[in-house]
Amino acid sequence: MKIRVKLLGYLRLELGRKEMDVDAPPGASIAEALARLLGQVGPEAERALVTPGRGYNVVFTLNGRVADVTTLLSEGDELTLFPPSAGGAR
Amino acid sequence: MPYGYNGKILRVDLSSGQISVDEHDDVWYRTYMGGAVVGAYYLLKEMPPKADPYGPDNLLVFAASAVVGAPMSGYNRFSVISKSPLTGLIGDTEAAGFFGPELKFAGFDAVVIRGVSAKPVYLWIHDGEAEIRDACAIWGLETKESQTSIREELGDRQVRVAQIGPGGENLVRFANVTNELNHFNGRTGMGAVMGAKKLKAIAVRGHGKVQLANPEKVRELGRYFARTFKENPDDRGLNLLGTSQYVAGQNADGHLPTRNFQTGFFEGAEAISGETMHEKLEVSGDSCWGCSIRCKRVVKMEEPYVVDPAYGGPEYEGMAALGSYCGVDDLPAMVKANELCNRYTMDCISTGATIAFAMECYEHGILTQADTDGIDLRFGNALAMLRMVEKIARRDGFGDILADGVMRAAERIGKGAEKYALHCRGQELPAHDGRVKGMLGISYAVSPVGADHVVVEHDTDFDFRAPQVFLDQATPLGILERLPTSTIDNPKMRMFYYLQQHFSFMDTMCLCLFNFGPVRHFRMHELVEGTQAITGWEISFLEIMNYGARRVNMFRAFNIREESPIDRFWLPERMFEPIRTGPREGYKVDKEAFRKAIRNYFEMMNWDEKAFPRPMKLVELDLDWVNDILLPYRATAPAAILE
Repeated sequence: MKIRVKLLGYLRLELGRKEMDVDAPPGASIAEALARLLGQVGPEAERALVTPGRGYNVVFTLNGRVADVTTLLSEGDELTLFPPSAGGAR
Repeated sequence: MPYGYNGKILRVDLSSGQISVDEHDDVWYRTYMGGAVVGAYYLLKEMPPKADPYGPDNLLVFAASAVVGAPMSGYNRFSVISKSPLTGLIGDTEAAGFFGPELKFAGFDAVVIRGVSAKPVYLWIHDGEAEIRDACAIWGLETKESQTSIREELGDRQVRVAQIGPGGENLVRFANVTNELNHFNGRTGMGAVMGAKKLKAIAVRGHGKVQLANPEKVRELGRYFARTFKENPDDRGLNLLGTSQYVAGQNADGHLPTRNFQTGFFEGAEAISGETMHEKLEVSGDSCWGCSIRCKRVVKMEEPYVVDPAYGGPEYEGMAALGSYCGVDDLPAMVKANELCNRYTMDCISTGATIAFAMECYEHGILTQADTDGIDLRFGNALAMLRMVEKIARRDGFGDILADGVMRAAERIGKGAEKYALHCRGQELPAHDGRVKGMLGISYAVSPVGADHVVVEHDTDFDFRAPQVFLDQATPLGILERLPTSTIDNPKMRMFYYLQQHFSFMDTMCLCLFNFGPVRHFRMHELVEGTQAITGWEISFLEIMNYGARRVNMFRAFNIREESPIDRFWLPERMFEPIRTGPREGYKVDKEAFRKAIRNYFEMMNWDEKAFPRPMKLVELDLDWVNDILLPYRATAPAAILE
């Protein structure tokens, strides 16, 4: 199934695109879709989305709703990835 | 010879023209350190209670710290402290840029100003000397012109100038102070205090340097940070997009303040986002003194509005306040409005929030075009927003009412307008939503300077989706578990308590939070090592955390003396109403839970039911002398005002 992924913040700059489709197996979770995305895009996605040894450093919503990495996906879902907005954004 | 600090604090009396120098010993510096605490020290010791913010008794303090000017990323800020004309309580605001280090190089750690000048003046500080100079010729000029004029008069293009423009001169209550035209001590109206004192600017130049106890260690830490800071995802993003990167993300997550906090989801967010700004406009990065991150933005535009890059470019708060807060999705207009705020030295947060307040009054018929000088002040009207910025700066027509901020404007407008005046202690809400970020709501309600978004890290940094690296960085504070974003229960209040001390010591040591914040790249043991290497003190993290505790308690003592009904530990009613749309639809603050959280905060702080620090708490912080100040108020003060 195809998942539409929208990229915000510096992820858009580092991956060089606003959005993309990710191919994921039926019933895949968000975690599995993110792994597929890394495989599809390559090292620049790994650099942007992952802190070595400490996992993903992005935040996401699914179809405009708050979700977590275990949330299961359906065909045509829209996953929005954005950098964490840490406090003190002046 | 001391390391880190100069040991000299400049005293200036603008009424008499007298200039002198205070000298303090090593124990004093190790106790009070700098920034907000040095400011509070002088205000508590020397200012009478209930002084007129615009009168000669109000002190205005510009303070660096014992560590500012060390050649390492993030040691570059300074505080401006005074009684705020916006809140009538303690005012404190931080900026970086270049002024703080230059003051240190000129031989002073702080400047304490009292009095009111009979005519416009500026202060010229250079290599251990100071003089008051005539500023009649530059009074009324915008800041770019006055900076050029001062530099030409002094014959040195490297002079650093902290100053006010028309907003400060016209006593806009949320006027700010700028240095290098694009760095701002943004909040609490310190620019209006300068305006009342007829102090156009402070110009500084120094050829000294900060003496370091262990220069090699300082260089080692500086090199390490410059080499590795991009490993932190937030610092990496700040380098690429600045804080503009937060607009789209906060909106996607459902907490971008929209139309005066009616909702947290703005349909026009993409148009005013940092990504779009970088794609469509000419944007470059800029830096503060010695910083590796380079988060500042510089925007140049020719059409449809001319935007002068000398005034920098919008950051998250300005983009949201002058964008979604007002329902404006017009990128050029938002960028121009931000430039006007910078040009006129007005806090972009309070400016945008005040216009949004008026827009909501207009939406409900409380205001009509008969009140607004014929301006169709509906949400989303970008041209109306731009015109109001101009009118506020000049106190022209309806702008004169808004120039006093939402609290006073609501009083003058009447007809129930106070319902839409979103402020705490008289200061407008910044562009973060306490209904989604629980600790942020607590911040707004307890912050002694009024609603402030830089009191703690925000809850989203520790929730179930936050990067693990953030959690790992914060563990020395005892933050070991993720907590839900919107809660304000005991575990969250414990987190709040330690984070508030952390943020407050950054404002005392004048450190940049993007370098030293609890989830940012510098680790806490590296902060301790850096402080030791600069000062030569065998300082511990305990002592550093106590700088934060001193700041909060000294600020509280100042506010107690004012006996003000504005000093309420509560939120605007809108925070107790549900967010109307978007991913966080239905989120709201629960009143009972909030009341309990505030009372628990008092207990954790070792404050009584009147929100007085208990006497032995002040002794523990080596502030026993503050007990003498509070003694006359202890018996007669009412219980702390919650609602």
